Formats: sequence, structure tokens, C-alpha cells
Amino acid sequence: LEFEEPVLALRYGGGNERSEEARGQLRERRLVSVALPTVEDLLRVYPDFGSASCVFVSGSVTQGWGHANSDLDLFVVSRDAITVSDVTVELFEERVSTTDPTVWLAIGEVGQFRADIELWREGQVDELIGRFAGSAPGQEGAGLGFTEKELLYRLSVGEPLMGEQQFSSWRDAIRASTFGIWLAENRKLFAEGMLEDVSGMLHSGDSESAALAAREGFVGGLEALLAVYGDYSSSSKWLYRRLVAANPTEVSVADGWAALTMAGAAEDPAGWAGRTAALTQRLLVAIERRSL
Amino acid sequence: VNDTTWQPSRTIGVYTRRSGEMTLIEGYIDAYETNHVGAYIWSLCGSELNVGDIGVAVAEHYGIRIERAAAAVDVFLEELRTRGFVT
Repeated sequence: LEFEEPVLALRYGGGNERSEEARGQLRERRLVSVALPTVEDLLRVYPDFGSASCVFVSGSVTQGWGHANSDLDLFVVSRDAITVSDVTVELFEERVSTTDPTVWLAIGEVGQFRADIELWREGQVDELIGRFAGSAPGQEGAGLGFTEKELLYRLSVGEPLMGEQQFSSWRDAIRASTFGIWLAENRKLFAEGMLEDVSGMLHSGDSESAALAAREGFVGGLEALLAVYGDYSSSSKWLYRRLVAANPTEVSVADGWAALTMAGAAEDPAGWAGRTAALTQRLLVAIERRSL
Repeated sequence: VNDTTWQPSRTIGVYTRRSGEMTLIEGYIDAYETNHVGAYIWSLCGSELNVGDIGVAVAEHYGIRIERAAAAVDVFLEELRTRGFVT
């Protein structure tokens, strides 16, 4: 191996985090300022987005759950493809399941926030929502990957910066669609698979694996329940916040938190797995009654 | 770096990923690229080696004199510390 002097060169970003002092100031601004950028702020940095038909922001910052390292999740939807000319932006190509399969993901910077930007086309959004316009499709039929599920969720809770009428039309269509039912069934099937494993592991005396599978099953069951309540997120890191926000009658926040944190599992893994599996089973039955 | 007993640790929340021949070290917004020598030094940050040990490791890995390796490690770690990637 040939030695060369190590280098550290700025690849993207504006270089505004060069010093501890600058990083501290940016963190403070993110903590004290919950104001979302305006469309003028955005277009000042990224004039290419001026041709978009709809721009919306969505994520922890809009939910009121922002923290010192929260990023800004921006969605830019246009009729025709937008080319990002800003060289400080890092671009990634993502393939999705729509007829037009390309979505561009960009990492940029708006004010004090890192901006994770997704660039979609109108036809792609219409196509995805259209899959849930009638009766709920089967699990094998909808063909939604993580990026597509996230888009529909983000549309359901986002805040428009541009193209409010278009945004409202899409948001209302998602809320009236069978996407929530499909998502609930999707998570429910995952939970049922985990519960089957719990049963088998307990019979085989593998208590520790049964406890881990029971936790996975509970997470799936809780996400299915939240989907029935109109929470279409796929983010497990926010499950406590999501549970508090939805406040479902089927499980208390205290019981949910105890299951998520596996309280008591270390001392009695088999007993904990059995109790948590039973709790999850009750959730799944309630979901069926409510939605399926 | 004045203290050769300093054990540089990676700051929690920093990303590392490969990009072609380079390695990217990414903070909240700014992302820096480094070459294979920088990536090797970066791979030793958080391994509980101190600055002196890292210099020795670089010298052995690349077959160079310890003085040259130590000087390069010193400058690079200081840059990483200034950018907030190590503490």
C-alpha cells in the first residue's frame, strides 16, 4: 500500500459546521426555532424547485417532535423531472414501483436544518394513491416499498409550502383511501408471523428468543393498531410518541411502554413472552373488528 | 495534538460510508471525503488506541518511518477534532 498524506475535503454541505462554535449555534437555532422555512426561503436556496407543482414538509419537525439533530424532510412534486443544479447537494437515485420508476433523493441545507429532499413526479403520486382508491388490494398486489409507504404517510401529515390545493387533494384522497386498512393488515400479518414463532420457541424451551420475537410481534401489532387510528408511519423510533398521540383504547400508554422496553423480560423471558404474545393477540383481534 | 495518550473516539451520530475510491465522513450537514490513508486512521478512532498507537499502526501498515506517520496522524486527527468528528 502506497502512503499518501491523509486528506479531508468538503464533499457537500455549505461548510457551515466548520467549528464547534458554529455547530453549537446551529444546534441552538434548531432547538429554539420551530418555524418551518417559507417557500421563499426554499426557492432562495434551490431556485430549481420553482417549477414544482407542490412542495411540502413533513416529519418530526412538523409533528412537534423535533430535536437538536432533526432534519427537515422536504418533498418536491413536479409534472416533469426537475434537475438540481446546486453542486453542494448530494444526489441519490432511488427505484420505486411506479410506471416511472425513478425518484431522486437529495441531501441539502435550508437555514439551520439539513434537508432530506425527495423529488417525485405528479404521475407517480397519483399512481400510488390510485392503488388504494377502491377496495383494499391484497398484500401481494399493492407492491409498496418503504419509500412509497413513507411518501403516502408523509402526505397524510405534511404541511404544504407550495401548491396547497394539490397537496390537500392528495392528502384527502389518502385519508379516504384503503391505504390505512392495507397497512394495518400488512403489519398484522407480520405480527402473526412473530406470534407463531413465539409459540414454537416456547414449546422448544428457547425462552430468550421467544421474548425477542414477542417484542417484534408487539411492535407489529401496535403499528397495525395505529394504522387503524390513521397513523401511517413506519418509524418504530417514534412508537412511544405515536402511542401517546393516538391514545388507543385497546392498550394503555403504560402497558405499551412496558412491552416496548421489555420490562420484566430479563427475569422471566418465557413468562414475559407469553404475556406479551397474549396482549398482542388481543390487539390483533381488535384490529380485525375495527377494520378488516 | 499535544497529548499522545489521547484516545480519539468518534462522535455519536457521525456517518461513515464508501463512495467510489473515497470514504465519506458525514456530520449533521457537512460531509467530508477522505482518501485511503485518512480512512485507515478513521477506522482506528474509537478502537481505544491512543494517538501514539495510531501513529505506530499507520507506520507498520504503510511501511513508512514512524516520524512521518505520526506527523500525518497528528494533523489529520486535529482536523477531525475541529470538524467535530472525534472527541
